[in-house]
Amino acid sequence: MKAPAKPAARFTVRRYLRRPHLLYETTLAHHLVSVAVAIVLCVVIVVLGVHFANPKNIFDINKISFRDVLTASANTFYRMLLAYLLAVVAAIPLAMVIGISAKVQRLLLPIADILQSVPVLAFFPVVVVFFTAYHAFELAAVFVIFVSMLWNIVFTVIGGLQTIPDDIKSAAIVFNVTGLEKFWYITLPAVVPFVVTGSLLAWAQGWTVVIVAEVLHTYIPHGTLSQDLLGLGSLMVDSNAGGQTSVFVATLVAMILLVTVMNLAVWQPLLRFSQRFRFD
Amino acid sequence: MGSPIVFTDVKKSYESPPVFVVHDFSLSVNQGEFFCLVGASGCGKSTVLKMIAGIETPSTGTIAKPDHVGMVFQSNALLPWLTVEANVAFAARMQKFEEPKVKQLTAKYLKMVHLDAFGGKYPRELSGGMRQRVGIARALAVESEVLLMDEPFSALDPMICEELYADLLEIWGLTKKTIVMISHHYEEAVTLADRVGIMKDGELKQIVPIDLPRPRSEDDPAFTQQVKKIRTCLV
Repeated sequence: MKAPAKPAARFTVRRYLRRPHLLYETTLAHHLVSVAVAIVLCVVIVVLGVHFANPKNIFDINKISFRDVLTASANTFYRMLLAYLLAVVAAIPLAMVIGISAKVQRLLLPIADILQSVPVLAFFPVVVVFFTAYHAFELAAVFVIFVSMLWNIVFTVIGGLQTIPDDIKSAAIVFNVTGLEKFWYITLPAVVPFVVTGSLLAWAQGWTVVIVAEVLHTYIPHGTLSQDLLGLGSLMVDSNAGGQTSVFVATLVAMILLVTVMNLAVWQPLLRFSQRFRFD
Repeated sequence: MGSPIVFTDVKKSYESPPVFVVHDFSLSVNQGEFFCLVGASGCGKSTVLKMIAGIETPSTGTIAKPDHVGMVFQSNALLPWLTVEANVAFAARMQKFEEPKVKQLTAKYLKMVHLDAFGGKYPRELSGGMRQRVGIARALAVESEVLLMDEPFSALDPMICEELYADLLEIWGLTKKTIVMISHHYEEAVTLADRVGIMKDGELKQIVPIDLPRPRSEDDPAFTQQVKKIRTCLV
């Protein structure tokens, strides 16, 4: 005789808050952190939106204050961060598609290899003309930084996928871990160290490109300084061209400080954290 | 007694045109039996185990086996980002067991492998022997009647192996699982198994029943004789 069906557990807020997940049981702390992260993200999106809609440009290189250097640092950081987030979101699925099997890899890897070998700055004038037609100056810079970052992460993650041991892949089959569960619980954690390494390389590349990407006026016919985006890159180039040595030095110091703080506060801890995802 | 694993005329090739790494393979493993496959590297024993696990499929022939099995890997194949407890629970959760059952199985099998005090540790914080015990607990948490073991002790030092042999036999006695293990150590096979299957060049050459009482000692002349018998078959 068939056993009577178990009645579904009654929904309660308490039960919802403490529902079990695959690797942990949610607690109130998880929900509070999620709400806090969501609020911070919303604020960042609004701030970025306002900033992007009204970019502050350089009008007179002779009237740059210390506050402008700070604003330039924040602007450059925003551009880099946005380009990086877009690069990560695009690179991981792209790497997964390319690295999913040896056959797909044989087909797509040469294409990706050709694409990444095209110098990003070579098509920057075209990008600038395209985006300036829509008055999207910020997006032109972000797009170029994004492309310069993308391939570092893609190729590092593809390399990471190849380091997943055969026994782990076999264990996934034996323990019935397939599809999205395999992606979330095995593949994605396994490539964490490679995402971190790729990100480090991507930011290094980004710092190089940002110096050119903010100086839009050189790519616009009859361009003026007012078309440049206020940032560390443009300040550096324009102050150097205008003979403003003190501004140039201040900008250089700001960039070095920003890179150092990023390295100490973000990359070093992330590199240490990512070690726990490495297979022996 | 039923046979949870039955191979009938199985052949396996990874290439086209076929080059068979396993051929004319027929075997029936009894319920609750400890069966060990031995042979030189490349003789096809790992392929046989993979076919039972569902990792590989036979090119021809049939295999009757349970839908899901537990498996212990040579490299332990633990997920380094999960704690010992989470590794064991992960295997149980993937079988879609209810959460209380997942917790109960995790606690039960960690205790069985004497690692209940190490649930919060990460695999990298454990010795090789302890990691392999976690691998055993994880394989047991699947709650399959069949436990597969792919050279689980080959990377461990002999003293640790002795301990693990005793523990494995104790677990086998408690759980009554059907165990299929592969090994290239004849002494290990004779210490543990009810029957030893000898593979050579992709074929099952002979099955040697080990009728010695447990625990078995390498100092026992009958033990040495069995080892010699297996070695002779392989030469």
